[in-house]
Amino acid sequence: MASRPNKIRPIRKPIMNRDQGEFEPCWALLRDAMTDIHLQNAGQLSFEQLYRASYKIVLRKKGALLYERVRDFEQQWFRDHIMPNIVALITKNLINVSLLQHPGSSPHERREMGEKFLRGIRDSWTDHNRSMNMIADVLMYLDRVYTLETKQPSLFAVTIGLFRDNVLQSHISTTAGDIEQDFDVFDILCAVILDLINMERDGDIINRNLVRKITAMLESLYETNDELDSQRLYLTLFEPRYLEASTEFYRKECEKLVQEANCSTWLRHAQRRLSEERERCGTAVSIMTTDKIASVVEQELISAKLDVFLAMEGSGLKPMIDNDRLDDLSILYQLISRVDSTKSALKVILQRRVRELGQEIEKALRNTDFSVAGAAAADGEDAGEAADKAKAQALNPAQQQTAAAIKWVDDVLQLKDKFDRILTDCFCDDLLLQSAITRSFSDFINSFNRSSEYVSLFIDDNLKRGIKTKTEAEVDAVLDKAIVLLRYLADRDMFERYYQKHLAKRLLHGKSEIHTEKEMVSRMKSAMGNAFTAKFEGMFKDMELSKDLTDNYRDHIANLGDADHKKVDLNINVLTTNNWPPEVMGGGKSKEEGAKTDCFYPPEIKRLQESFYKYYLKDRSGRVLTWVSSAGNADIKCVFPKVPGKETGPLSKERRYELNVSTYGMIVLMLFNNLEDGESLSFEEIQAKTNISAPELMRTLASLSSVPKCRVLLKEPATKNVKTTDKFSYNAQFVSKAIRIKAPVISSISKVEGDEERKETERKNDQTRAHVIDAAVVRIMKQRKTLAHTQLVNEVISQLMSRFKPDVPLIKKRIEDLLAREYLERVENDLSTYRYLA
Amino acid sequence: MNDRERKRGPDDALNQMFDRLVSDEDRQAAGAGKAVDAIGAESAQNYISSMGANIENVEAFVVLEIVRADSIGQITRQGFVEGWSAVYLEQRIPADPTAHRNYVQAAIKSLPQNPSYFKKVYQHAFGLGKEPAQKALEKDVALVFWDLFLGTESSDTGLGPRPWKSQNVDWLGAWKRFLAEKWTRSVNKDMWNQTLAFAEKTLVDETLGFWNEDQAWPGVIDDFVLWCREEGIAKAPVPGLGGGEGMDVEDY
Repeated sequence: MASRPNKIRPIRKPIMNRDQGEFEPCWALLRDAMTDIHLQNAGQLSFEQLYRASYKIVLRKKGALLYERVRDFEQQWFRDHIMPNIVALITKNLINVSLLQHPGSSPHERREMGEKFLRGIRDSWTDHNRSMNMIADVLMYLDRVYTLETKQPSLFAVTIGLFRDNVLQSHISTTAGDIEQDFDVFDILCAVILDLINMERDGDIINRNLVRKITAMLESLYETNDELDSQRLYLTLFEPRYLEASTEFYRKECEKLVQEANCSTWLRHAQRRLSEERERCGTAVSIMTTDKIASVVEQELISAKLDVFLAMEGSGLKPMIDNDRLDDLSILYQLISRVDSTKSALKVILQRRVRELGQEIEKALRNTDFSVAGAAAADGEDAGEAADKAKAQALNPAQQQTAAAIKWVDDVLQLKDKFDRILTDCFCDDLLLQSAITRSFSDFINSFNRSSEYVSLFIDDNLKRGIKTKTEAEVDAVLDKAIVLLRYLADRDMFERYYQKHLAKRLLHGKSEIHTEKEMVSRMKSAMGNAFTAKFEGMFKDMELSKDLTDNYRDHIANLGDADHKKVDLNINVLTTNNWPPEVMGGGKSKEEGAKTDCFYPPEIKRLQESFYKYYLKDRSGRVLTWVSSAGNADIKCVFPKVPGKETGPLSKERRYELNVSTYGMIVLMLFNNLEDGESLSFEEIQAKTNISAPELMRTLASLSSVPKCRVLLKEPATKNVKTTDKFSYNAQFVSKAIRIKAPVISSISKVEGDEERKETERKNDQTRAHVIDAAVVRIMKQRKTLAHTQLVNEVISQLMSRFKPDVPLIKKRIEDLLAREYLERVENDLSTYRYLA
Repeated sequence: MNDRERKRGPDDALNQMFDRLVSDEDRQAAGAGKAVDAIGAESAQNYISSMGANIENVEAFVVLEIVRADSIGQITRQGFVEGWSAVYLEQRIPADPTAHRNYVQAAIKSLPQNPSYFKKVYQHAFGLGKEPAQKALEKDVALVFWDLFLGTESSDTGLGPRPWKSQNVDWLGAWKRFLAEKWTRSVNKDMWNQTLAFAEKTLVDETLGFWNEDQAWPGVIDDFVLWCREEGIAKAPVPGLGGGEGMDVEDY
């Protein structure tokens, strides 16, 4: 204050002189009081008296002097009363242990010593803090008037700050070994705290309260007396060291874990550490550090060796997935979410595992022998009828393939369930991971070249066989699963082709519930769009119209009145060519069997056909109906007369049966109506009379002469396979327990295609694709006129994506073809741009 | 040259020149009393020789390109008049056999040095070689033509005007070997044109580093590149140095 401006002195001087005398007594009073306060002897002091003393001083403009005196007094007090205690606490041992990290002292010793030191600091701080509060109260008027006017830090700030200057920052010199060391008390304080915290991390119990007191002290002390928030000693001095020490601690811990522990332990450990640190910040350190220390743990304990832990054999991510260790996975997800918002480490391994497991399904499929394994599942439908079959009958190759298809789909769905469960239970339905998993599923499913066919077969199998025994909810679940798989398929055009074929067979043979079929298709529609299901819906429509048509025709015949007891009841399906697969329409397999030939119908049937056609054309003139004999079936009532000479048993009576056979079977059986007893027809004769193609006829005759339950024809010789040289005759001895007998229709079994058929299907599909690509290229080029090659290819892919995944070489080939056919030309002097030629 | 000629070109003079090329045989082919609109193989050969061009090699293609011939064995009046007329309009070459001969000689000389002119003659040759009803060139014909245009030391016809070979690679030899092994079909126009474009590129970069399967090269050229790599004719570029390989790394 000596440097206060001189100008105003002349005016003040007389007053100051006069008041000089009053300062000292007041100060003496205050000083004694301060001593009492420090000695915790303030009980007798009168606040009012002291307040007045300071008030007087300030009023006499002696605030500056008082401010200075108080500070000096406190400084003196530190020197005389506090520091000696502190210095006494700082033993050589303490320095050695805490700062120089000398070995050889047990944690227990260190803790005792450290806590003693902390207690000393705490006590002097508590005293000081309490005293300074009281003194600040007494000198309140000084703060209100003098410090405020002169814009100085409050007296409290200054006096409390003395603790920093006089205690924490006081230098202690010591000689350790040969080296002269120079420390702040703060250095020791800090080292002791960090040591204690590390002890606690190692499992010791420390006095958290004590540590918290010290950190609280650091929080309430500032670098300067201006008391800026960011200048708290805790933040400027302690926290950086704390974080650094923690980083070191966790780095070592993590290295140790990598060596000694497994992934599962590590996960739990890291999780525990995180919660410990959070708790520690609340109870022993400071909540200001909560987030920062968490990120230290995240970085050092989680991120640093994440890949190593995830790859650990037996406990890493792969075994976690394989063994459904859901707890581990949950923790893992939580930890990874903390350190990496993209979760790429988790994502990558997860995706790889999905693909691997998918490929394993495929591999397992190849290694499974379906010839017996699937038998139990396969004969569900005709279990009763199969009873008399040989027990361990091997499945034929087609059935084996079908069983394989079902197994594949089941396995894929199981895998899907597994990952769905993991996703929901452990990964909180994380969208990022969900789409990653979806992508991987899609990858492996589409890398398996029969997936389209297998999915369709799976639906076929479930709609045909399963529905009867299933509740509505179960049916629902099956349909949902089918849709799930369907979404993964890239080659939707292939699926469409197979589904059309399978659906056609189910509809024509009445193998499934129509409302379930419709439900399935309507789900497909909402999942894949209208265009995808147009054909299927057309098929349903055909079926409905046909039903009406059948009824109306029946009424029409009834109204004609000439009740013919030999009248044949007609049930007709009129199918629109475009909606139905060519295989069913009889045009498909023309390759080996030559052009489509019409078989010769018996006269009764011929009449019926003509009658119906006439009726049909009444309202629809100009339409053409083609009879697809390969797709129909017929119920035949047949009578087997009593066998002469038999008096007992079923043969002694006349037997009537209702036989359900294919259209071809009906045509063949009609031939035998006009045959005398004992006569027979050779294969060639039958073929000549019916004009049925040889393979079809073989199948038909086999079902009528080989299968015991409907052996209405006898074959000569009685071998299993039908040959063109065989002879057939009427089986007068035929007996059956059932009245209604269904002759197995061989072609109605939906089966996986053989390799030949498959190639054929693919060839057809490729042809269709070529046309579709041509159309897309032309459409795009027509609009754009000129376009670079790459852009054109990309555009084609994006346009066709929803139908199938176009093959780039195929697109290129189509472009070349369009170049040759002069729909396009190359732009002169630009190798990779095309122009559309109108 | 009079004013009229200068304005509407030398059509009359060119017609007269064409008339002089017509042989008795050509007249017979046209039919008695009818105007002769085209000369046959023999007259055409005579004409080509008279222009100082070798009938056996690319020089013939140069003449046939000028007179806009559609096939090797025939020159039409229309093509002859329009072709030379265009030359006159462009470069003021008068309708005179000596001037034409000089022009042809200069054109032949410029063939090796002038890629765009070379390309013009090359592309025109496609039309000369194919059967009129066909859209593509027979493979055997194409092979001969390639020898004529791009011939290297290994070709039967010897060096062409722009030999298709680079420092270390006899590309034409490789191309012919590749086609013999893998190609049975005829050569369509795009393949014919793109082969030259590809050849020009290989002369600049014999490692085939310019190639990338995502580009617009015809499939046969893609196959050729892969074949060359397999055969060790051109090494695959080091991965990561602009090669196509580095593009689709999965995010494992």
